[in-house]
Amino acid sequence: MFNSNQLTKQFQAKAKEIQPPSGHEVSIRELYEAHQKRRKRSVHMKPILFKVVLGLALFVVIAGFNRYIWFQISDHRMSLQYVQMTTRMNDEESSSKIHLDLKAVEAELGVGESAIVYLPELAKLYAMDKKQALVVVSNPSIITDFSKWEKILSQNMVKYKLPPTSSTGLFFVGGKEDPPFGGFISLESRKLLPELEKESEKMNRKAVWRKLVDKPANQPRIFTTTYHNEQQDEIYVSMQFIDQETDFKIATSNLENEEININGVKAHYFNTQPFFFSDSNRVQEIQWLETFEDYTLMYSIGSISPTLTKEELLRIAHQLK
Amino acid sequence: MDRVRDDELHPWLRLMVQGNTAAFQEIYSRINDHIYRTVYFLSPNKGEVEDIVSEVYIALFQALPSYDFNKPFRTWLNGIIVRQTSNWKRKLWRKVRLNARYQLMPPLQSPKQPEEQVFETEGQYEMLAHVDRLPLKLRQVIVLRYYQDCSYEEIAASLNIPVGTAKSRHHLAIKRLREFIDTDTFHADREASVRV
Repeated sequence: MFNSNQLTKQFQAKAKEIQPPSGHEVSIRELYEAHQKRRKRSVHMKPILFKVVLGLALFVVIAGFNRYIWFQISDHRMSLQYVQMTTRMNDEESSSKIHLDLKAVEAELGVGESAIVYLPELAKLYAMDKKQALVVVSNPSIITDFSKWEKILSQNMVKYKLPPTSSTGLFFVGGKEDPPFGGFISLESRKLLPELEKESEKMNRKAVWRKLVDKPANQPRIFTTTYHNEQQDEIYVSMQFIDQETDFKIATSNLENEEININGVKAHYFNTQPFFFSDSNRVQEIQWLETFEDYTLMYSIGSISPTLTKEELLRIAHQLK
Repeated sequence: MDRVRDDELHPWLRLMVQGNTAAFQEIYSRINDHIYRTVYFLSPNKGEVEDIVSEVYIALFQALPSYDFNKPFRTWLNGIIVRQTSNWKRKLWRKVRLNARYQLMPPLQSPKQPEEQVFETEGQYEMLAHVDRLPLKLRQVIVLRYYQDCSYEEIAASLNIPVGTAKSRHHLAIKRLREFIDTDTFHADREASVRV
């Protein structure tokens, strides 16, 4: 017979026996101190330029501020333009605050959930185009079984390439059906802007957010595979599947860009620093397109590791099979 | 922690956000038993409790700047504990963080051995052994209700579900526990009759 009083008594009695091991307090304090160090470091980090992934929905139109095209990758099906914004953040505190705000939201999400975040620092910067203040963060479910992940990839793409673990020295960590950073902002979720803006004002200009219930319809399919090398640097290989005419624009500031060649295909290496999506405040990436009859794959190989070199990233990109 | 009022915690929490180690010590002394024991009761594998508790603290440090001081701290903290416990199995970053942590810290001895997955099925904690057999969603409700003495409203807020869902999960959990108890009683009776 179930007896709730008996259950409560057993919980209370057992609780008295449960004690953390010796050294527990020290290890938690070290976690706290490490967190504070990271926080302080990011506050003092320079410079303050940053990269904003604008709503990467289909046919994004950037309006409301001046820009010029930095570089462009395209085939007959899709075009990707990197544009430089004339409006730039020049306040270092705001840049690191954005990173911490995004991390705080991420910590509140369960696996598979994503949220749209309103960032007052960005709204201030883009007073004429406040939708730029919206950023998506997610806590995607990760597939850690490589054979399962391969199955998903082959179900979605007839042909694709990944770095062979044997020759590259990489080992598979996980796969997710999401971009490496941020997420897609649908037109539907943009409608949340006025209420989020109001709420933020009420809360003394704090970052505010809403969980996104559904993934946006017609969202481009992206498959990101994550690896580690022996030094524990994290490297991602992201493949974006495009099967209809698509025009992407990515707005950024301070981009180190170089045109390179990956196995006979024109590619771009770029290094963006700072980058508010990452702890290291940096991302470097190599991007190129592979065109098939029915679809185009946009490959991005990148890393936010502060220690991984450009040469190492190039070596991995050349070995994709 | 149950006897600690939010208005006593708030000044320490504000200092802790600013990086004050003394405030961290104060908060730790007031909430650690609550976190550690709740994770222990929620987790079916007691050998993982120490690591899950570390994840709870990391999430707490990250989320604290966005904590709304107008809302009850215990409910907010329970939300973090429940999410981190249910996320644990699927977290990619577990491996990365563990690697990093092991490089930083000396290994700690777990209070329980990894093979100790369930409470003793006989003796004084028989009911807890049955709770451990429940699916996580039902176990969460039972632990919050009967260990922490939470109201349905608090349970709903911690789990981010409607109050009606909290009640129906509670109802289902009790039904399952009764079934476990009845089955065990049935087997015990059978065993006794065979012996006779």
